[in-house]
Amino acid sequence: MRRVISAILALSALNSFAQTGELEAHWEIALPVSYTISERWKMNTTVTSRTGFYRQEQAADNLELFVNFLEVTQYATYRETHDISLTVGYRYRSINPTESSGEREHRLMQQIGIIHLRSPTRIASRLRIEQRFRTDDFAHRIRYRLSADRPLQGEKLDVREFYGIISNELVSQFGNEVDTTLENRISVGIGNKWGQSSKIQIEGQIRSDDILDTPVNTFYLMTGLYFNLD
Amino acid sequence: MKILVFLLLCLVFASGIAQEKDEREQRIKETEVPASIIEVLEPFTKDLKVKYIFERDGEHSSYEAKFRSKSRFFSVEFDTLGTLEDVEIDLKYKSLDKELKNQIEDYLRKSSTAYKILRCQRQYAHVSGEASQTLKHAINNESHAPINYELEVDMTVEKALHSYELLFDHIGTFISKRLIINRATDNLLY
Repeated sequence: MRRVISAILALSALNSFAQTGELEAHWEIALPVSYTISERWKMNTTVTSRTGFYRQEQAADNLELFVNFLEVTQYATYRETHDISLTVGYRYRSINPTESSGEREHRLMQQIGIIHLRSPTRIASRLRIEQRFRTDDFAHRIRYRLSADRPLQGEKLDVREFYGIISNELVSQFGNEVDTTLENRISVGIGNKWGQSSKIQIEGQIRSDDILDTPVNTFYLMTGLYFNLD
Repeated sequence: MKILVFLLLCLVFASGIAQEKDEREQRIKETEVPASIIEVLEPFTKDLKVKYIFERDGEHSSYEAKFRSKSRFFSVEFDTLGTLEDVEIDLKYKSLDKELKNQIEDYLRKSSTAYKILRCQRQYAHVSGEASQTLKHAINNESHAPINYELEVDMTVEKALHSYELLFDHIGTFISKRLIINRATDNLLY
Protein backbone atom coordinates (compact mmCIF):
# COMPACT_ATOMS: atom_id res chain seq x y z
CA MET A 1 0.00 0.00 0.00
CA ARG A 2 2.80 2.41 0.97
CA ARG A 3 4.67 1.60 -2.26
CA VAL A 4 1.58 2.34 -4.35
CA ILE A 5 1.07 5.68 -2.59
CA SER A 6 4.77 6.59 -2.99
CA ALA A 7 4.60 5.73 -6.69
CA ILE A 8 1.50 7.91 -7.21
CA LEU A 9 3.15 10.85 -5.44
CA ALA A 10 6.40 10.42 -7.40
CA LEU A 11 4.53 10.28 -10.71
CA SER A 12 2.58 13.38 -9.81
CA ALA A 13 5.78 15.21 -8.94
CA LEU A 14 7.37 14.26 -12.26
CA ASN A 15 4.25 15.41 -14.04
CA SER A 16 4.40 18.79 -12.30
CA PHE A 17 8.01 19.45 -13.15
CA ALA A 18 7.75 18.15 -16.70
CA GLN A 19 5.10 20.65 -17.72
CA THR A 20 6.00 23.65 -19.79
CA GLY A 21 4.44 27.03 -19.17
CA GLU A 22 4.93 30.09 -17.04
CA LEU A 23 6.14 29.91 -13.48
CA GLU A 24 4.80 32.07 -10.71
CA ALA A 25 5.67 32.08 -7.02
CA HIS A 26 3.56 32.99 -4.01
CA TRP A 27 4.03 33.09 -0.28
CA GLU A 28 1.14 32.04 1.91
CA ILE A 29 0.86 32.46 5.67
CA ALA A 30 -1.89 30.67 7.58
CA LEU A 31 -2.91 30.74 11.21
CA PRO A 32 -5.28 27.81 11.87
CA VAL A 33 -6.77 27.52 15.36
CA SER A 34 -8.72 24.39 16.34
CA TYR A 35 -10.95 23.99 19.38
CA THR A 36 -13.41 21.39 20.63
CA ILE A 37 -16.98 22.39 21.44
CA SER A 38 -18.38 18.98 22.37
CA GLU A 39 -17.35 15.32 22.50
CA ARG A 40 -17.72 14.92 18.74
CA TRP A 41 -17.68 18.47 17.34
CA LYS A 42 -14.58 20.44 16.63
CA MET A 43 -14.21 23.91 15.15
CA ASN A 44 -11.33 25.39 13.19
CA THR A 45 -10.81 29.03 12.35
CA THR A 46 -8.09 29.87 9.87
CA VAL A 47 -6.82 33.27 8.75
CA THR A 48 -4.72 33.18 5.60
CA SER A 49 -2.80 35.75 3.62
CA ARG A 50 -1.12 35.18 0.25
CA THR A 51 1.21 37.39 -1.75
CA GLY A 52 2.67 36.72 -5.18
CA PHE A 53 6.29 37.78 -5.61
CA TYR A 54 7.65 36.29 -8.87
CA ARG A 55 6.56 35.89 -12.49
CA GLN A 56 8.74 34.15 -15.04
CA GLU A 57 7.74 36.50 -17.85
CA GLN A 58 8.91 39.44 -15.76
CA ALA A 59 12.00 37.70 -14.44
CA ALA A 60 14.23 40.31 -15.99
CA ASP A 61 12.61 42.86 -13.71
CA ASN A 62 12.93 42.95 -9.98
CA LEU A 63 10.72 40.78 -7.84
CA GLU A 64 7.29 42.30 -7.69
CA LEU A 65 4.31 41.90 -5.39
CA PHE A 66 1.46 41.39 -7.82
CA VAL A 67 -1.37 39.49 -6.18
CA ASN A 68 -2.57 39.14 -2.66
CA PHE A 69 -5.59 38.11 -0.73
CA LEU A 70 -6.77 37.82 2.81
CA GLU A 71 -9.22 35.13 3.79
CA VAL A 72 -11.01 33.82 6.85
CA THR A 73 -12.30 30.25 6.97
CA GLN A 74 -14.53 28.63 9.53
CA TYR A 75 -14.84 24.84 9.65
CA ALA A 76 -17.14 22.70 11.80
CA THR A 77 -16.09 19.05 12.00
CA TYR A 78 -18.07 16.09 13.30
CA ARG A 79 -16.03 13.01 14.22
CA GLU A 80 -18.03 10.06 13.02
CA THR A 81 -15.43 7.57 14.27
CA HIS A 82 -11.79 7.81 15.37
CA ASP A 83 -10.73 7.83 11.73
CA ILE A 84 -13.60 9.39 9.81
CA SER A 85 -14.72 13.01 10.09
CA LEU A 86 -17.32 15.10 8.28
CA THR A 87 -16.72 18.82 7.84
CA VAL A 88 -18.67 21.80 6.58
CA GLY A 89 -16.99 25.15 6.07
CA TYR A 90 -17.39 28.71 4.90
CA ARG A 91 -14.65 30.94 3.50
CA TYR A 92 -14.63 34.66 2.83
CA ARG A 93 -11.78 35.82 0.62
CA SER A 94 -10.93 39.39 -0.18
CA ILE A 95 -8.70 39.55 -3.28
CA ASN A 96 -6.45 42.62 -3.39
CA PRO A 97 -8.13 43.93 -0.24
CA THR A 98 -6.25 47.22 -0.25
CA GLU A 99 -7.36 48.12 -3.80
CA SER A 100 -10.71 49.61 -4.74
CA SER A 101 -11.01 47.10 -7.61
CA GLY A 102 -10.61 44.20 -5.18
CA GLU A 103 -12.81 41.16 -5.69
CA ARG A 104 -14.67 39.19 -3.08
CA GLU A 105 -15.26 35.50 -2.88
CA HIS A 106 -17.55 33.35 -0.77
CA ARG A 107 -17.00 29.63 -0.63
CA LEU A 108 -19.04 26.80 0.88
CA MET A 109 -17.28 23.54 1.58
CA GLN A 110 -18.30 20.00 2.49
CA GLN A 111 -15.68 17.33 3.08
CA ILE A 112 -15.06 13.85 4.35
CA GLY A 113 -11.70 13.13 5.97
CA ILE A 114 -10.37 9.63 6.51
CA ILE A 115 -7.27 8.65 8.47
CA HIS A 116 -6.04 5.41 6.90
CA LEU A 117 -3.00 4.87 9.08
CA ARG A 118 -2.13 6.47 12.38
CA SER A 119 1.23 5.76 13.90
CA PRO A 120 4.05 6.57 13.39
CA THR A 121 3.36 7.38 9.70
CA ARG A 122 -0.07 8.86 9.21
CA ILE A 123 -1.86 8.67 5.90
CA ALA A 124 -5.04 10.63 5.33
CA SER A 125 -7.51 11.28 2.53
CA ARG A 126 -9.66 14.35 2.09
CA LEU A 127 -12.51 14.53 -0.39
CA ARG A 128 -13.99 18.01 -0.61
CA ILE A 129 -16.81 19.59 -2.60
CA GLU A 130 -16.91 23.37 -2.90
CA GLN A 131 -19.26 26.00 -4.26
CA ARG A 132 -17.29 29.13 -5.11
CA PHE A 133 -19.11 32.43 -5.52
CA ARG A 134 -17.04 35.28 -6.98
CA THR A 135 -18.14 38.75 -7.99
CA ASP A 136 -18.39 37.70 -11.66
CA ASP A 137 -18.76 33.94 -11.65
CA PHE A 138 -19.80 30.81 -9.85
CA ALA A 139 -17.96 27.48 -9.92
CA HIS A 140 -18.26 23.99 -8.50
CA ARG A 141 -15.06 22.31 -7.37
CA ILE A 142 -14.29 18.72 -6.41
CA ARG A 143 -10.94 17.99 -4.87
CA TYR A 144 -9.19 14.95 -3.46
CA ARG A 145 -6.03 15.09 -1.38
CA LEU A 146 -3.86 12.25 -0.15
CA SER A 147 -1.35 13.25 2.49
CA ALA A 148 1.12 11.63 4.84
CA ASP A 149 3.27 12.83 7.69
CA ARG A 150 5.81 11.16 9.94
CA PRO A 151 8.07 12.17 12.85
CA LEU A 152 11.66 12.46 11.68
CA GLN A 153 12.95 11.03 14.94
CA GLY A 154 11.46 8.00 16.65
CA GLU A 155 7.88 6.83 16.55
CA LYS A 156 6.29 9.63 18.55
CA LEU A 157 6.21 13.31 17.74
CA ASP A 158 7.47 15.01 20.86
CA VAL A 159 7.74 18.68 21.66
CA ARG A 160 10.40 20.48 19.60
CA GLU A 161 10.75 17.55 17.21
CA PHE A 162 10.47 17.77 13.44
CA TYR A 163 8.16 15.88 11.13
CA GLY A 164 7.99 15.55 7.36
CA ILE A 165 4.82 15.96 5.36
CA ILE A 166 3.94 15.20 1.75
CA SER A 167 0.68 15.48 -0.14
CA ASN A 168 -0.87 15.46 -3.56
CA GLU A 169 -4.22 16.94 -4.48
CA LEU A 170 -6.31 16.93 -7.62
CA VAL A 171 -8.73 19.84 -8.01
CA SER A 172 -11.43 19.85 -10.67
CA GLN A 173 -13.43 22.97 -11.42
CA PHE A 174 -16.57 23.20 -13.53
CA GLY A 175 -19.64 25.33 -14.06
CA ASN A 176 -21.50 27.37 -16.69
CA GLU A 177 -19.48 30.52 -16.06
CA VAL A 178 -15.97 29.01 -15.81
CA ASP A 179 -13.71 26.78 -17.89
CA THR A 180 -13.56 23.18 -16.80
CA THR A 181 -10.06 22.46 -15.51
CA LEU A 182 -8.13 19.80 -13.63
CA GLU A 183 -5.32 21.02 -11.41
CA ASN A 184 -2.60 19.05 -9.63
CA ARG A 185 -1.02 20.26 -6.41
CA ILE A 186 1.96 18.47 -4.94
CA SER A 187 3.54 19.53 -1.66
CA VAL A 188 6.57 18.58 0.37
CA GLY A 189 7.23 20.15 3.72
CA ILE A 190 8.63 20.03 7.19
CA GLY A 191 7.07 20.90 10.51
CA ASN A 192 8.07 21.32 14.10
CA LYS A 193 5.96 20.70 17.17
CA TRP A 194 6.58 23.85 19.18
CA GLY A 195 4.46 22.96 22.17
CA GLN A 196 1.95 20.36 23.27
CA SER A 197 -0.73 22.15 21.28
CA SER A 198 1.06 24.01 18.53
CA LYS A 199 3.20 23.36 15.51
CA ILE A 200 4.76 25.31 12.70
CA GLN A 201 4.81 23.90 9.18
CA ILE A 202 6.58 25.05 6.02
CA GLU A 203 5.75 23.49 2.67
CA GLY A 204 6.75 24.00 -0.92
CA GLN A 205 3.87 23.37 -3.28
CA ILE A 206 3.80 23.14 -7.08
CA ARG A 207 0.40 23.78 -8.62
CA SER A 208 -0.03 22.77 -12.24
CA ASP A 209 -3.32 24.21 -13.35
CA ASP A 210 -5.21 22.72 -16.25
CA ILE A 211 -2.99 19.64 -16.51
CA LEU A 212 -5.10 18.31 -19.39
CA ASP A 213 -4.22 21.34 -21.55
CA THR A 214 -1.35 23.85 -21.20
CA PRO A 215 -0.57 24.19 -17.54
CA VAL A 216 0.92 27.14 -15.74
CA ASN A 217 3.15 26.01 -12.89
CA THR A 218 2.83 28.06 -9.75
CA PHE A 219 5.10 27.65 -6.77
CA TYR A 220 3.74 28.32 -3.30
CA LEU A 221 5.78 28.70 -0.17
CA MET A 222 3.26 27.88 2.52
CA THR A 223 3.86 28.62 6.17
CA GLY A 224 1.35 27.73 8.84
CA LEU A 225 1.24 28.02 12.59
CA TYR A 226 -1.27 25.54 13.96
CA PHE A 227 -2.85 25.93 17.36
CA ASN A 228 -5.02 23.45 19.19
CA LEU A 229 -6.86 24.98 22.14
CA ASP A 230 -8.20 21.69 23.63
CA MET B 1 1.97 43.90 2.29
CA LYS B 2 0.95 45.35 5.67
CA ILE B 3 -1.37 42.40 6.14
CA LEU B 4 1.46 40.01 5.38
CA VAL B 5 3.74 41.68 7.91
CA PHE B 6 0.96 41.73 10.53
CA LEU B 7 0.31 37.99 10.08
CA LEU B 8 4.01 37.27 10.21
CA LEU B 9 4.32 39.18 13.48
CA CYS B 10 1.33 37.25 14.88
CA LEU B 11 3.04 34.03 13.84
CA VAL B 12 6.33 34.93 15.52
CA PHE B 13 4.57 36.18 18.68
CA ALA B 14 2.37 33.12 18.93
CA SER B 15 5.29 30.76 18.44
CA GLY B 16 7.07 32.47 21.32
CA ILE B 17 4.28 31.80 23.79
CA ALA B 18 3.67 28.27 22.54
CA GLN B 19 6.66 26.49 24.03
CA GLU B 20 5.63 24.11 26.76
CA LYS B 21 6.31 20.89 28.57
CA ASP B 22 9.27 18.65 28.24
CA GLU B 23 8.26 15.14 27.23
CA ARG B 24 10.40 13.49 24.60
CA GLU B 25 11.93 10.45 23.04
CA GLN B 26 15.45 10.91 21.74
CA ARG B 27 17.43 8.58 19.50
CA ILE B 28 20.90 8.06 20.97
CA LYS B 29 24.09 6.28 19.95
CA GLU B 30 25.20 3.02 21.50
CA THR B 31 28.14 4.86 23.08
CA GLU B 32 25.69 7.01 25.07
CA VAL B 33 24.00 3.98 26.63
CA PRO B 34 25.29 2.80 30.05
CA ALA B 35 27.72 -0.10 29.67
CA SER B 36 25.68 -2.30 32.04
CA ILE B 37 22.74 -2.16 29.59
CA ILE B 38 24.90 -3.07 26.60
CA GLU B 39 26.34 -5.94 28.62
CA VAL B 40 22.90 -7.36 29.38
CA LEU B 41 21.71 -7.03 25.79
CA GLU B 42 24.84 -8.24 24.00
CA PRO B 43 24.22 -12.01 24.12
CA PHE B 44 20.74 -11.50 22.64
CA THR B 45 21.46 -8.88 19.99
CA LYS B 46 24.58 -10.21 18.25
CA ASP B 47 24.45 -9.32 14.53
CA LEU B 48 21.19 -7.45 15.04
CA LYS B 49 20.54 -3.80 14.31
CA VAL B 50 19.59 -2.14 17.60
CA LYS B 51 18.08 1.32 17.98
CA TYR B 52 18.64 3.06 21.30
CA ILE B 53 16.25 5.67 22.62
CA PHE B 54 16.34 7.84 25.72
CA GLU B 55 12.84 8.58 26.88
CA ARG B 56 11.82 11.25 29.35
CA ASP B 57 8.22 11.37 30.55
CA GLY B 58 7.72 13.88 33.34
CA GLU B 59 10.04 12.76 36.13
CA HIS B 60 10.55 9.27 34.76
CA SER B 61 13.45 8.65 32.40
CA SER B 62 14.45 5.42 30.75
CA TYR B 63 16.60 3.81 28.08
CA GLU B 64 14.92 1.74 25.43
CA ALA B 65 16.51 -0.72 23.02
CA LYS B 66 14.49 -1.70 19.93
CA PHE B 67 15.40 -4.56 17.65
CA ARG B 68 13.93 -7.25 15.44
CA SER B 69 14.68 -10.89 16.17
CA LYS B 70 13.10 -14.02 14.68
CA SER B 71 10.65 -11.78 12.76
CA ARG B 72 9.40 -10.19 15.97
CA PHE B 73 9.84 -6.61 17.18
CA PHE B 74 11.30 -6.24 20.68
CA SER B 75 11.39 -3.20 22.90
CA VAL B 76 13.50 -3.54 26.04
CA GLU B 77 13.22 -0.82 28.66
CA PHE B 78 15.74 -0.01 31.42
CA ASP B 79 15.75 2.66 34.11
CA THR B 80 18.57 5.20 34.23
CA LEU B 81 20.55 2.97 36.61
CA GLY B 82 20.53 0.21 34.03
CA THR B 83 17.95 -1.99 35.75
CA LEU B 84 15.66 -3.86 33.38
CA GLU B 85 12.02 -2.74 33.64
CA ASP B 86 10.27 -4.82 30.99
CA VAL B 87 10.47 -6.42 27.56
CA GLU B 88 7.65 -5.84 25.08
CA ILE B 89 7.03 -7.82 21.90
CA ASP B 90 4.63 -6.80 19.14
CA LEU B 91 2.21 -9.52 18.15
CA LYS B 92 -1.05 -9.94 16.33
CA TYR B 93 -4.07 -9.77 18.59
CA LYS B 94 -5.75 -12.61 16.74
CA SER B 95 -2.83 -14.89 17.63
CA LEU B 96 -3.78 -14.79 21.34
CA ASP B 97 -5.51 -17.75 22.98
CA LYS B 98 -9.27 -17.80 22.55
CA GLU B 99 -9.89 -17.81 26.31
CA LEU B 100 -7.62 -14.80 26.82
CA LYS B 101 -9.30 -12.89 23.97
CA ASN B 102 -12.73 -13.64 25.43
CA GLN B 103 -11.69 -12.14 28.77
CA ILE B 104 -10.23 -9.02 27.13
CA GLU B 105 -13.19 -8.52 24.80
CA ASP B 106 -15.59 -9.02 27.70
CA TYR B 107 -13.91 -6.07 29.45
CA LEU B 108 -13.96 -3.98 26.26
CA ARG B 109 -17.66 -4.66 25.64
CA LYS B 110 -18.56 -3.68 29.21
CA SER B 111 -16.44 -0.53 29.09
CA SER B 112 -17.47 0.84 25.72
CA THR B 113 -20.15 0.88 23.06
CA ALA B 114 -17.63 0.26 20.29
CA TYR B 115 -13.93 -0.54 20.17
CA LYS B 116 -11.12 -1.26 17.75
CA ILE B 117 -7.84 -2.88 18.77
CA LEU B 118 -4.94 -1.12 17.05
CA ARG B 119 -1.87 -2.73 18.58
CA CYS B 120 -1.06 -5.63 20.86
CA GLN B 121 2.14 -6.27 22.79
CA ARG B 122 3.16 -9.06 25.12
CA GLN B 123 4.96 -7.63 28.11
CA TYR B 124 7.47 -9.52 30.23
CA ALA B 125 7.81 -7.47 33.40
CA HIS B 126 11.12 -7.85 35.19
CA VAL B 127 10.08 -8.45 38.77
CA SER B 128 13.20 -10.01 40.30
CA GLY B 129 16.26 -12.09 39.53
CA GLU B 130 18.69 -11.75 36.65
CA ALA B 131 17.76 -9.39 33.81
CA SER B 132 19.14 -11.89 31.32
CA GLN B 133 16.65 -14.49 32.55
CA THR B 134 13.68 -12.21 31.78
CA LEU B 135 15.19 -11.41 28.37
CA LYS B 136 15.65 -15.11 27.68
CA HIS B 137 12.00 -15.80 28.56
CA ALA B 138 10.92 -13.06 26.17
CA ILE B 139 13.20 -14.08 23.29
CA ASN B 140 12.16 -17.72 23.62
CA ASN B 141 8.51 -16.74 23.91
CA GLU B 142 8.11 -18.67 27.17
CA SER B 143 4.63 -18.51 28.58
CA HIS B 144 5.33 -19.61 32.18
CA ALA B 145 7.03 -16.27 32.94
CA PRO B 146 5.03 -13.33 34.37
CA ILE B 147 3.29 -11.93 31.30
CA ASN B 148 1.00 -8.99 30.73
CA TYR B 149 -0.64 -7.81 27.54
CA GLU B 150 -0.63 -4.16 26.50
CA LEU B 151 -3.25 -3.08 23.97
CA GLU B 152 -3.81 0.20 22.18
CA VAL B 153 -7.54 0.50 21.64
CA ASP B 154 -9.92 3.06 20.15
CA MET B 155 -13.01 3.16 22.35
CA THR B 156 -16.36 4.90 22.17
CA VAL B 157 -17.49 5.65 25.71
CA GLU B 158 -20.84 7.43 26.09
CA LYS B 159 -20.48 8.92 22.59
CA ALA B 160 -16.99 10.21 23.36
CA LEU B 161 -14.13 8.91 21.20
CA HIS B 162 -10.97 8.06 23.14
CA SER B 163 -7.86 5.97 22.60
CA TYR B 164 -6.40 4.02 25.53
CA GLU B 165 -3.39 1.94 26.38
CA LEU B 166 -4.85 -0.97 28.37
CA LEU B 167 -2.92 -3.48 30.43
CA PHE B 168 -4.22 -7.01 31.09
CA ASP B 169 -2.59 -9.88 32.93
CA HIS B 170 -1.89 -13.31 31.41
CA ILE B 171 -5.48 -14.49 31.85
CA GLY B 172 -7.03 -11.26 30.58
CA THR B 173 -7.84 -9.57 33.86
CA PHE B 174 -7.82 -5.81 33.48
CA ILE B 175 -4.98 -4.08 35.37
CA SER B 176 -4.83 -0.45 34.29
CA LYS B 177 -5.49 2.03 31.50
CA ARG B 178 -3.88 5.20 30.24
CA LEU B 179 -5.39 7.78 27.91
CA ILE B 180 -3.50 8.22 24.64
CA ILE B 181 -3.38 11.74 23.25
CA ASN B 182 -3.48 11.34 19.48
CA ARG B 183 -1.63 13.83 17.32
CA ALA B 184 -3.84 16.60 15.98
CA THR B 185 -4.91 15.97 12.39
CA ASP B 186 -5.46 19.62 11.48
CA ASN B 187 -2.51 19.70 9.07
CA LEU B 188 -3.83 16.64 7.24
CA LEU B 189 -7.49 17.59 7.03
CA TYR B 190 -7.70 21.40 6.62
